[in-house]
Amino acid sequence: MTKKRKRYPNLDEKLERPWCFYCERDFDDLKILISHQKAKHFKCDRCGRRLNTAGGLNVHMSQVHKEQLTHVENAIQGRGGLDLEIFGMEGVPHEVVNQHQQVVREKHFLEQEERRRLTGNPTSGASYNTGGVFKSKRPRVKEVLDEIVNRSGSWEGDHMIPTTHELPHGSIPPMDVPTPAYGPPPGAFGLPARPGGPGPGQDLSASLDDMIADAKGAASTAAVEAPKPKKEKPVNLKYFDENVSPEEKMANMARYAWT
Amino acid sequence: MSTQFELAQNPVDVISAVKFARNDHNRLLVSSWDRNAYLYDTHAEPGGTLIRKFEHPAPVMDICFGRDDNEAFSCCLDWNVRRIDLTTGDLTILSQHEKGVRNVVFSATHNLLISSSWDETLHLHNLSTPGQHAIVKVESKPFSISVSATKLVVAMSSRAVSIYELATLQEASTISGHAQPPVWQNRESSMKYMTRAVCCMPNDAGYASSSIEGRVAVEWFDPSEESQARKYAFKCHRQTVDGADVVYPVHALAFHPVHGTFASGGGDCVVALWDAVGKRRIRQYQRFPSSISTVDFSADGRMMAVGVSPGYENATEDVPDGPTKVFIRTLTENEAQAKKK
Repeated sequence: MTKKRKRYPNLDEKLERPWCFYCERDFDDLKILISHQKAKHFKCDRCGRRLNTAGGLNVHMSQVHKEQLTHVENAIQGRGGLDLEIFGMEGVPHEVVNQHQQVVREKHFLEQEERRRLTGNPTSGASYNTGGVFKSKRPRVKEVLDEIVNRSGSWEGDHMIPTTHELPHGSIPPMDVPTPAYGPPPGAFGLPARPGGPGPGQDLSASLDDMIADAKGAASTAAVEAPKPKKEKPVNLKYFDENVSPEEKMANMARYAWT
Repeated sequence: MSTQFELAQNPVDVISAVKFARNDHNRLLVSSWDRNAYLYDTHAEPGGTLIRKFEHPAPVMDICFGRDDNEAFSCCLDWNVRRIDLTTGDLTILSQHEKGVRNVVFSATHNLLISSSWDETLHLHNLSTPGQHAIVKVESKPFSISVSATKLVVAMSSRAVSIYELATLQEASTISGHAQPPVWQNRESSMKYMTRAVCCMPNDAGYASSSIEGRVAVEWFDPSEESQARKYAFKCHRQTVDGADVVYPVHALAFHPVHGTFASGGGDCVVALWDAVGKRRIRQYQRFPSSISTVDFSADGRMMAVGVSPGYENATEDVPDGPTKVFIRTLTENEAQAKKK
């Protein structure tokens, strides 16, 4: 059995992943990376033999097929050279390793920030960065909107009935109950804190209604905003015109003019 | 690898088309904006030999072989369609359009030469009745045309695509002058942007088309619902630069005559091979030094010619830097074959 992959691996886990020098792809483990390199970068395109290194392929090409290898197949720009002897993660120059780690780091923090923005949850990496300065002792409450509505309904049910009838002995009027038994104070739902929380004199049921309305509002705006990031990626068309082809534009140029 | 080389004597301006002969697999025609058509023997000596050069009065937009390896047809910005006798070097004007002529294709099965022009017409030349041609008005400006064994696909501006049956075109071509052969099918491109190239499958089942927005669509002729449901389009020829997608036009498409896979060439200087049925990329070649303007396979599928021209799609008055070259690549037995599984 393989280990179940974490949905959001932390930075260290990401940095530890083996990756391919030639195409910058990363892999679950070194074995897979090596078989990837043999299949994609060190495979002879004459006979399909998989070699271990670019040098090995070069020797094979020149001895078996009498041909000269000029570059490594499927490599990204600038990485196709034959001068480096790469096998798995071995032989990768330090500066390239650093550059890759930098990219992984930047990507990690970007993703984290994006996730924080979308979910409103504090970044899990906060404990990574600050060494666990902030850690709530109370278990985190996760509720969906329906649960909040249900809970508020039951709260109102519980508290409205006694007020219409006579109060039980020794009970405190609900107005003064600072919601101890009903979960964390407002703001702990992972929603942005509202300005001016429920003051001591305020009607709590009203403030709860506010909260529900807020939550609904937040949920609906979140629903509207959520699909956006997919389309936000700017697109840069190298050629654009509704109805005139590049050739027609060229044909109109002075140097191709024909009369 | 070393099985790829460039021609020694290249055109000096943008290459508009490269075409292999049907019988002699070393015979290659190249047309160029430098106002010439070129005939090469690609393997006579290293780097190939330029057999002959055919001068035209204006840039040559497209070229194709005719009934045999010694006959060719060219279309030119001077509005004319010409027959070229490759042995004597004689050029004969077959017909004149009212604007630049974009493409010329020859259907051996129907002995029919078809030219398409920005004047929104096709000219049909039935080679068994020389000296006359039929004019067919099409929906809008044709940008690319391609023939299969039985069909002609015309990709036009406004994302229109018309498919004709060659048999009806052949019939229409017997009468000189304006003709209205029935369109077999009118379609709208399945892509949002301008169509750039179209190419029919060698098995006559369908065609691929490409757009200026890094995308290729594959669809089938068969009008039945099941076959139409099989059509699809995919993104390609893109690069991510600083988080933004740079999207290049896909200028060239060519089907492999044996394996039925196809090559696409784009403004990103890359040629990729695709498996149309398996919906997979087979391989992508090392970047070429300039934009890919045209691609063709030899009839036996053993060779691929790639015409590269620098930044021509931008149509700037300054001549863009970069090499203009024709590359010839010898393919191995299964290089263009669809992967198993």
